[in-house]
Amino acid sequence: MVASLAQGDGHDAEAAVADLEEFKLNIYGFTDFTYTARLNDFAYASPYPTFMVGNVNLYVGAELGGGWRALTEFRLLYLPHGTVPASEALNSQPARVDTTVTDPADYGRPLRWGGVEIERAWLEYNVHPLLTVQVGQWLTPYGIWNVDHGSPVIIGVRRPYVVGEALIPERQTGIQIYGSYLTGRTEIGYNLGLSNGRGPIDAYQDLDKNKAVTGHLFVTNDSPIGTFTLGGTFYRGRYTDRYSRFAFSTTGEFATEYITTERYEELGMSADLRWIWQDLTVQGELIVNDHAIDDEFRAAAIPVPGAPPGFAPDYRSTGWYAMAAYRLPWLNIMPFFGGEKYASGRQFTNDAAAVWGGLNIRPIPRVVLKAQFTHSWFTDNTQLVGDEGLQALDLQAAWSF
Amino acid sequence: MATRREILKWSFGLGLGFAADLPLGLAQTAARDSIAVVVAKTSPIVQLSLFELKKLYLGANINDPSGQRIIPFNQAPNAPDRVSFEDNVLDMTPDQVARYWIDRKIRGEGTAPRAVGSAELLQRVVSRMEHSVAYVRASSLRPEVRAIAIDGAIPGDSAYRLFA
Repeated sequence: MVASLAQGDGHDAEAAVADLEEFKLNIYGFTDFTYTARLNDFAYASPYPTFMVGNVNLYVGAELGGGWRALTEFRLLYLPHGTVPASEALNSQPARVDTTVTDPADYGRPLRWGGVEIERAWLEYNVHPLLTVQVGQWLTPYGIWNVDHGSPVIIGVRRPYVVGEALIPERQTGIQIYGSYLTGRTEIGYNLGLSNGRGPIDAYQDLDKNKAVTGHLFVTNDSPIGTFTLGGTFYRGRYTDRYSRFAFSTTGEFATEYITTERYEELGMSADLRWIWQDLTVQGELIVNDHAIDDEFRAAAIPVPGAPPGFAPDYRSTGWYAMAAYRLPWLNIMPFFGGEKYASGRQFTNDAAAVWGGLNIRPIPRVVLKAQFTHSWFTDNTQLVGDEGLQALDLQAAWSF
Repeated sequence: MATRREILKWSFGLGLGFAADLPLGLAQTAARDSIAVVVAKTSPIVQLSLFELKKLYLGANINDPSGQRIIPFNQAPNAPDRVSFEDNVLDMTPDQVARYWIDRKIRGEGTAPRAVGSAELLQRVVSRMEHSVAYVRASSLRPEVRAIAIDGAIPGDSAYRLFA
């Protein structure tokens, strides 16, 4: 009996080990639902309060065994239905994209189809804690907000304007390596990426021979007064847009001709700091992007009455935000507040600033309820755009599954 | 992040509180069983720092002395020893741990260490996987596993800091 029990024990353990080592597909995701209302008159935002299902993101991930791991994230969209193409923007009666089709499964009744955005799709191999190699499309590992990524994770409803501007590309397609080293109570880590960089179709084709380089370094220290993480990122790349056509060459041969229509060099840099102590989180990011247009493709400057004609200048965009949040012991309520500033540096655009605050409530780990008030305003040329700015209320429910 | 105990020690060390630093560990030794971090008898893992253990259970890649990645295993969710372990090592409540792993999955940074049914089965699984670690109550240690040192101390030492 003892022997059979021991054998039974062994079988249980073998079965458990086999189960642990078995290939398992991990499917999960998150969704958010938002109510947005403008609280004052503001010429540059819709006056109509609206409900919106903003993100329906689905992840398919797997530990493939032997240190291999894969992840694909899809965002399901209602778009392109209802969007106004850029070519229609200045039309007096702009036409929306209409994806209405007849549904063959329902007597041909109207059905509006939506699209899918591939947020990331990668395969990685963990060689050593100091070296993991990842190939595919990945989120650029810069700052805090871009890595936090999903609405259940980010504290506020709206991302800071400078983060939304993607001064460093939100995602890239190529190869990155990363790793970290523990010493004492400090972790030092890095990411190094080589990609197509930013481009009109960068997810699947580079339109020049220049590969973009991304570097990221971070240091995390655990001490009695909390965890400090300091990070820095640089991105160097070339944006090129071109089309191809068939043409006869000067020697009379039929060949493909590549015509460049736009080209600029960019250097993005960011620094971030996060301090977490017990239930307090303080974080901030500073992001800078230098945009240098290739003279061959430099457009004429927008004419200014009384000024001589010229060309569009290079420019530097700069922005930062800082925020603090504290998770209270009651109902996991987290009040938060923050501020931001953004200077695009482009001709005829305004610098802007904002302050915001609200509540992030997480009644259960998988559900986050948020309320945020935002007051934003232009900080220059207010004689043209007014100085009242925008006051908006956002309410959001975000959940993961 | 520093554990609440560390903050207490740090505060007392600065003379900001009562002279209760040392008795914290000693009183617990007397009153409560230790949580042992266990590996297979054949495992090359002999010790870990508390920080390494914390990072390991928070998803970091850490190799053992043979160069193989260490695989951490958990007890079942809300098992008393798991709650104690997470409080001692991660300084987190079960709710905070759940939030941490949901957030990490959404960032695309991986999934939580797998949970294995009972403490007994957990030890038998660890005994068959020599690059894995788990934790169990020191009094229920099975012969096929052994406890490793954490910050240089093993269960029973006065300096040992993981308690049920």
